[in-house]
Amino acid sequence: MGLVKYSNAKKIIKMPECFTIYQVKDLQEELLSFEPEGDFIALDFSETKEIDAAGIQLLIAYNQHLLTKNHMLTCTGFSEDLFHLLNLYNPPFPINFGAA
Amino acid sequence: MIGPIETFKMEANEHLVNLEAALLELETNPDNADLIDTAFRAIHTIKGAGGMFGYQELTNFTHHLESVLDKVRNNEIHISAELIGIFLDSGDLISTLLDNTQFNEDQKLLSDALLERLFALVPSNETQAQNTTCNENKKEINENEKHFYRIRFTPDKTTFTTGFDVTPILRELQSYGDYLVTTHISKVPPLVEMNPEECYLKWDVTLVSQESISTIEDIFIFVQDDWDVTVEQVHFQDTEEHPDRLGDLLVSRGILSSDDLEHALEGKQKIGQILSEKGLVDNSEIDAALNEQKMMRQLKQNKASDQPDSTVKVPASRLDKLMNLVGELVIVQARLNQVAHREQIEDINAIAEELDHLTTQMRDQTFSIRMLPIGTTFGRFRRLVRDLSRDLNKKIELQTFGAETELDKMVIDKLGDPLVHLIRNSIDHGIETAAERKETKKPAMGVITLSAEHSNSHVIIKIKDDGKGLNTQIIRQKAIDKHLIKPDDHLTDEQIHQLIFEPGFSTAQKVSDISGRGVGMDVVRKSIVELGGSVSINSHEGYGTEFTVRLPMTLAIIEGLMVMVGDEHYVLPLSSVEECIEMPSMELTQRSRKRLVDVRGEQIPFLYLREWFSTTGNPPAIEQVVITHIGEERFGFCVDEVIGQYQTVIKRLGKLYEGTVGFSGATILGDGSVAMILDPQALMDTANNGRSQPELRVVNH
Repeated sequence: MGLVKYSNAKKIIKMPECFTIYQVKDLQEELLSFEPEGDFIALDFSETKEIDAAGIQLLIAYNQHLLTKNHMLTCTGFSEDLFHLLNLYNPPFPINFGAA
Repeated sequence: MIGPIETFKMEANEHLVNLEAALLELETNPDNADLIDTAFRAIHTIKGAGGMFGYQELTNFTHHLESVLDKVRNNEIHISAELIGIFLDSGDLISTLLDNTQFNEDQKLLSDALLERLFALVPSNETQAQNTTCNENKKEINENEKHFYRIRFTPDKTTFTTGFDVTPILRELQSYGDYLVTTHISKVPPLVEMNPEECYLKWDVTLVSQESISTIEDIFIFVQDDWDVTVEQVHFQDTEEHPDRLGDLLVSRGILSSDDLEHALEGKQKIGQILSEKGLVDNSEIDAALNEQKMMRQLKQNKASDQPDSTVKVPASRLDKLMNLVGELVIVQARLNQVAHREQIEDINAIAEELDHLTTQMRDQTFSIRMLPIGTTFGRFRRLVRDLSRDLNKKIELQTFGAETELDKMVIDKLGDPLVHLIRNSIDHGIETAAERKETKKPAMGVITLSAEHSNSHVIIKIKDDGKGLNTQIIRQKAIDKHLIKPDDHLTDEQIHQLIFEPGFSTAQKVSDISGRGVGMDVVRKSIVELGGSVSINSHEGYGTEFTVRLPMTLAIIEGLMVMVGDEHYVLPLSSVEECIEMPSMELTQRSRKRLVDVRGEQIPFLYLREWFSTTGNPPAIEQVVITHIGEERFGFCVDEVIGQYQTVIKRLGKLYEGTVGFSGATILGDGSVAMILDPQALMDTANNGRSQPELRVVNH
């Protein structure tokens, strides 16, 4: 486990500083390796400073992946800038900015 | 059909009117930012539109004016009387420049002279002012126009690894206007199978923007060879016809065939749900179409609220024809009513009633199309007062009231010249010079008041000045000299004042180019009478003069009250009718045209129309007195029978009947016969002048 930090008590996965084309391969593996419990998975982006279209595509794919397992994804903790950036894509999962 | 250049000329003239009005207001209110903006917009639009239609020299000329007005807007320079004078003269010049795209010699000299005056006042710091391009103007003119774009793009799979990101493109699109995006995810493989460095997404953006399509296309300039990009402009003027239902949008976007849509619609679920369940359309495509639908509906709503009434310009002659046709329709309607009444067939009666209702609505709508606020003519009077008062070295302020009062366009068109003449008279003969006013302890600034108001179906226009008033003695002497009256004629002051409307009458000591040629006031009265109106004068020496012009609101159709006298039908304007009173037929012991009827204690004079029209035969046992109000007075007309309300299409009387008193026109009835339209005012005036002692016929009501 390198890029993401897990907090099983809260079922929150903390996302890394960068979520871009340079990290997506590793991130994909880490997200796949995580076995969620319960219905609700939250990704915490409070430490994330950079995200690009490849990162967003990965999030979309992860959301689809969770849906097939009847889990729901929420992305949270975005800075205001990243929140606006995410909104440019109108992603098919809930996004929140502020504290996770 | 009005061509674009004609439209430009018409609009340019409208802007010139606005410009002039704003400039004249600025003279007294030089810091009013709204007025400065109005003047700027007028010049700016003429400049821009002129460029589009090849009026390059006009564009160059107005560019200098625009630059100066821009400086005024930015408080770099202040409005002065001299500057306003230059702009007023420039407006006059521009109005002559619209007929030709090139200046003639005189126009060139005039424009140079004006620019010289302008630059002397406000030095130009522009060197390329002459080179304003048409494209710039076009852009400026269209700056408020919004375009509706449907943008779809699919990056190639290697986009991410070759260093392109989609975010800057979406960000730029968003910065150009109202933006809704759908990220299509249907091609994204399951997480376990996907190569996250490849791009599987595509995007669909609905954008409402003022930017041109080429600007939008330029966003994709660096990726257009590798990506699949479509930028499509949905022409918004067609939005009423443009489908905005989801199914239609999907067909329009090429996602779904019409057949599939029709087939799917056989069920009763929501169309998006049906199509998704049937596997015909991907969910994200539905989302994209829904985004477009949302945006389009919002834009339509905004457009509707921003522009409550879009306008269409049509030649006035078409309106006249339409009004004539409505008039004919009203006459045919009257025939139908008559037939329906005679035949007593229930179905025809019902149709006639319904048609009557529609015809009335159509008449009112057509009538309202022709109505214009009289204020549209006030602008020219302001200019007139300004220029003439300067020429005559007088200080005069024009105050206007009731600019919103509406009148038939035809009446307004024909009213301009008589009003100009009345105002000229007030300026030339009425208002004194500042020195003369000082001697009589009046304020140096003379005031001319121009007011308009509705009074029933008429419009009353008053032109009042606080000048020296009419000199009754001079008028009387002049009338005697011109053999208009005899020295021993006993006339009231009012009757003497009316003499100024006689042909060839003038009291001016010298002939000026403003008025005083003695050819004006009779022409004024004639013009107003031709419009079915009247003009009266009220003057007090030393205090001023007031002209009152009374005009019908329309020359086309009125609501009338049909009455009968003998075998003849007559129509009284319904708007002046107050009530109808029954009166037993009377024995005439004394031939008299005027009597009094007692209506709840008030003695109201009335005219016995049977006698007035020398009608033969016996009157009915019970006659009717129609009580009308004419200005402040009440006056009755005794008729045989009151038939009822009647839509009256006014037909002007021919020249043969020009001198006939008491009729304002005629109308054609349903059976093709003619009914005369009575002019209550004229009848009352004539009756009053014809007999001084009314016989009291007391009938209590």
